[in-house]
Amino acid sequence: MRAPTAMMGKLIRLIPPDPEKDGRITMTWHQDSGLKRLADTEPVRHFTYKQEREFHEKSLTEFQSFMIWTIADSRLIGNISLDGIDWCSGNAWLGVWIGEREYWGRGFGSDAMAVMLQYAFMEMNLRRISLTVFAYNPRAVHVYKKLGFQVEGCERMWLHRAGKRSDLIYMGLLRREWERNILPET
Amino acid sequence: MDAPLFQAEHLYLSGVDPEEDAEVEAEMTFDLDYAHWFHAEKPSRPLSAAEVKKYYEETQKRSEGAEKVFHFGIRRCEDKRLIGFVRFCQIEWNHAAGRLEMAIGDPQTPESWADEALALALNYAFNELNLFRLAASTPAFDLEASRRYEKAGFTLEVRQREYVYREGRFWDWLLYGMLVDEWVASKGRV
Repeated sequence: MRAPTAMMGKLIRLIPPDPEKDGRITMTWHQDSGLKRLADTEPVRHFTYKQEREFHEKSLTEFQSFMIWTIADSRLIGNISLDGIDWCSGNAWLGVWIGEREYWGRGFGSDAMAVMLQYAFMEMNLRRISLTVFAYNPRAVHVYKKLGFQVEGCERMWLHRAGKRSDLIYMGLLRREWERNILPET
Repeated sequence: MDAPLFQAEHLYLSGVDPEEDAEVEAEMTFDLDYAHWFHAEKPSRPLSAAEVKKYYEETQKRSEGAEKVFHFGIRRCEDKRLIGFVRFCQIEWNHAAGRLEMAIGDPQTPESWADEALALALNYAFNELNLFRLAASTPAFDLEASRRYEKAGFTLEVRQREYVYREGRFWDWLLYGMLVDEWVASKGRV
């Protein structure tokens, strides 16, 4: 029934977090403030190893979180998660980030998203995936659109970063849209 | 500076008392649409008085911590009876953005009173919390809430398609937003 390549894309594998080992690597990603400003609304700051490890421990029980590993060179390069899971309505919120900059713009994030969507719709049986993205991150908006997400509106001038106000964009993908767009290719 | 923040013509905003109010609010949660505001992302169900009490206590603790939540009871002036709540949550101070949640759990309450409560809430958000923008959300089936937010000057910003499943079908989830300048311009309307 199930292909042995589950949780594997063309470029990456999704592997559950190993809090002790992975925490050492993910804590270094906070040093990249430019990245953090694309991924998080909170003021950019650092976290201790203990905080980072505990975050991954919590992620294993409280939501669905996977580490993104490259297939070719077996490197941990990012994280992808589904949070705020509403089983009643079949909705969850997706968050993804690639912490290692040399892997940006090469399809790794997009590949991780494709694997995660497959998991969300075919294993978790969700009906809808929601996400928010910052208006000053057009690269991410482009990736999400390519995967079939539609812009559903934006909270105007939500973000205040470096003296400028920007919109918080809301996007959504319905299961039937994903089936129509993505399934015929796989 | 001296203008009262909590007093309107027919109602006022107050604190909640875990001992006195829990039972009244628990009774209101038998309206499952009202109870939904206490069960984010979970099936709605009525709360027991003990659960409401625990909710009050946790909210009070949260209001003292870093993650600020400001929760108020809405009461009738005539007999001080609790008829609903107003709360501000998901406040991110660095962006001066926050979210308003409010609901009236007493079906006898005239809709114009809900407008009064909303006017108090907006004044508090922009004049006391000093927010740059305030969000409010509602499922698409709650036409009263949509009407109330639009009348007060909110803009419909996001329509999350088929976001919530209730009573055998999917409904959109509507996100409204208001900027401080818009509130100043529309104050006369509520």
